[in-house]
Amino acid sequence: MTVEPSFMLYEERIREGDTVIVYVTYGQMVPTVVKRGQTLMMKYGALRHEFIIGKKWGQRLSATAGYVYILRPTSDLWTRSLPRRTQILYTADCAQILSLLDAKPGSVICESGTGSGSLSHAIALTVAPSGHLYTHDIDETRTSKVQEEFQTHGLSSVTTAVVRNVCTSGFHVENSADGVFLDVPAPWEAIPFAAKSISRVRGGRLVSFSPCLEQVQRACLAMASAGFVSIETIELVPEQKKIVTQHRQSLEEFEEIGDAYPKERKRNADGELVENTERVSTAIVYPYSQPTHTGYLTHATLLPVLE
Amino acid sequence: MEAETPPQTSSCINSGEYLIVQKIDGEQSRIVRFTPKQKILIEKLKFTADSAFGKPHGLFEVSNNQCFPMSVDRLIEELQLQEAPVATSVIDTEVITFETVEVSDPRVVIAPSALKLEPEQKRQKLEMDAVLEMKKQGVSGQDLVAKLVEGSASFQTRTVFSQSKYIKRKAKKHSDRVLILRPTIRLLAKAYYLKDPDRLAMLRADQLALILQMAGVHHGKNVIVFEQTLGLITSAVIERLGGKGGCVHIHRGAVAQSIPCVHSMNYDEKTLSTFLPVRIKCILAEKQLPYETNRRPFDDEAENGGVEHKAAEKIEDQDLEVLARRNERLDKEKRGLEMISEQKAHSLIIGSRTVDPISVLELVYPKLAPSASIVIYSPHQNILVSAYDWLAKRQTINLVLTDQMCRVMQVLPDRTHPLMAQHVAGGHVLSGIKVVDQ
Repeated sequence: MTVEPSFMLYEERIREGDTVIVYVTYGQMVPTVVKRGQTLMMKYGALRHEFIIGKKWGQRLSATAGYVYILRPTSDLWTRSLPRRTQILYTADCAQILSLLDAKPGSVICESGTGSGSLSHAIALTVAPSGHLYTHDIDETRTSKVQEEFQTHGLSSVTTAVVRNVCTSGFHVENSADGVFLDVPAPWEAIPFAAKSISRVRGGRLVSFSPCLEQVQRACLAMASAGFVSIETIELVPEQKKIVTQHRQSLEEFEEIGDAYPKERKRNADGELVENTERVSTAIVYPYSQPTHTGYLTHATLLPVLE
Repeated sequence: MEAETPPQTSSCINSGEYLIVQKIDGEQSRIVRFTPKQKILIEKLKFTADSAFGKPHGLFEVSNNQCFPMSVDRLIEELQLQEAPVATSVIDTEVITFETVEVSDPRVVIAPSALKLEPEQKRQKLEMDAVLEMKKQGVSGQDLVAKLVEGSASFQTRTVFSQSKYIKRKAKKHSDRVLILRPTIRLLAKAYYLKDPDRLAMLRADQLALILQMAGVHHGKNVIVFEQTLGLITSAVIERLGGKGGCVHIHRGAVAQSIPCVHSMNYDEKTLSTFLPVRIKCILAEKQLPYETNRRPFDDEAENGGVEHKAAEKIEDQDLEVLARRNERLDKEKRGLEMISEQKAHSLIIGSRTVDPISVLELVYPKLAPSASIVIYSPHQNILVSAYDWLAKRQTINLVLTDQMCRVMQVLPDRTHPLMAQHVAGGHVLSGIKVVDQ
């Protein structure tokens, strides 16, 4: 029996049909479905898919003009490399949303909108194999595209993508969900429906993502009147850093050479090259310009209904 | 349409269960094992555990050392009352013009008498003894706040926003509403962080979430964990594995200790089957070592020859139990060690407080499967800078060091802003991916 390719199969070697993340440089990663006869073109030239099949995950491969690494797809790598059709949620927010939804294998989660499926993949991978993700979007091209991706990534059995406006028609399931995630322009319209979709006997969690405070204020009021408790709004501001080596310059040295970057090695009195030992590794904030706001995350609990 | 409901555990509070207790809008959150006759204490509220048994998890009202289930609708009505001064001060934003907004918004106009500052005690006619007496008589928090408002000389002179703030503050202080919830990783992380961040290596819930996502912990994965965070990281990994895969937990001594976060999640046997504690000693020796022990179960038998038959049997039972547990531990440890030696681990998570991550990397990194994710958390940035240098020399790609701020907002109509102060202590997360040549 052949097993369908999946993000959740952890084989040692790559097979045809697997989705691989081709790591070219730090900023460039290309997701590719491995298929005989095809060739990947990128910065370091061409790479024939034949060469990928049978190799170990994480192996370095030579392309025609340089090296690339073939990585096993993870939720984070997918988020960083997926084909973008909309604005997407990045790893820091995805991670936080999963945690705020109390998502785990077995959870039933509703999401709207689907967008490019960054968070959808994160949720599907977390709730599998016994849970389910219902993802809703008003745009049919988005849901069908994500459905295709789920198929290729072996996540079809734990996902359902629906074309539906949750703000007017509610969610695909009622009285079933453990968590609902909203990323819609008018979350207050969807909140009463979110309450309906959450399981009455188990209760559940609601998380709403909004870029603007005006949306947050209305969402909070709507959550309170829909019966949610422990309502809290947070904002995550990640800061990326880079490690650099820093020379410790003395006043004398500065007088001698100014603030020119000192050589890593210098000649001693006998003319031999010696390591300049006065160097320390240190972290600096880099890139200099970074995202400082994505959206506010408002989360709340719906308690189980007393019988 | 209703989805298939996954198998669920009992929705009622049972004796012996670990639970999270917090007051509505409270500052604290406690993890308590509810046992018969136990007194549960939370921010000056006290009730017996027995009064919660058999009731569904959720909202309770405490009175006379007992807790009673309460409907959420009542709570929401009460919360709306706290906002009443603002809601009732009629203000039609539509008609306000730019000229009038400065002077006529009744919510922000300050009455002149409010500027005459008097000590707080003088302003409150209700004596503290009277408040305590009312509490003893079982007067509800709601009524108490009403009395305090009545007794407050300054209340009428406050702005409407200030009145609402006053009511909220008093309501919070005298609230007798508690939430009794089933523990989740999110709630545990928060409770331990608020209680003693130092023992948790300052690990905030948002950073824990990031660690799990960067490490790609999912059903069926093999994960190696070395942590000094009270079992929090290990417990979170076990939950995400959902009964398949493995979580090697590297621990000191003979048995994994100081991991309350693993015990308090009430995990079932299947979920716990992925928990594979491995002794540091075995990692260092690169093989499984026998237990060094003073107890010799089978020698006892000979010595007990002359003792009463029943007693001997009892000892034997005990020994058998100890032996069975030890064998189970050894079995799991063997699985864990094999996962390492056969290079089957897909992720390595280090969450250290005092141990240098490099000393863990030296032993474990060469044994990770290629394409494995490495995530290291530390409250000290310089420790991670060294770890970064170490990893960069060994073909680790995608190395990123991040720090993040998690800001909590006060959200109220026309009064939304970040909290003035909050817990900010935290650490840094370094992540990368192992690759191989050939």
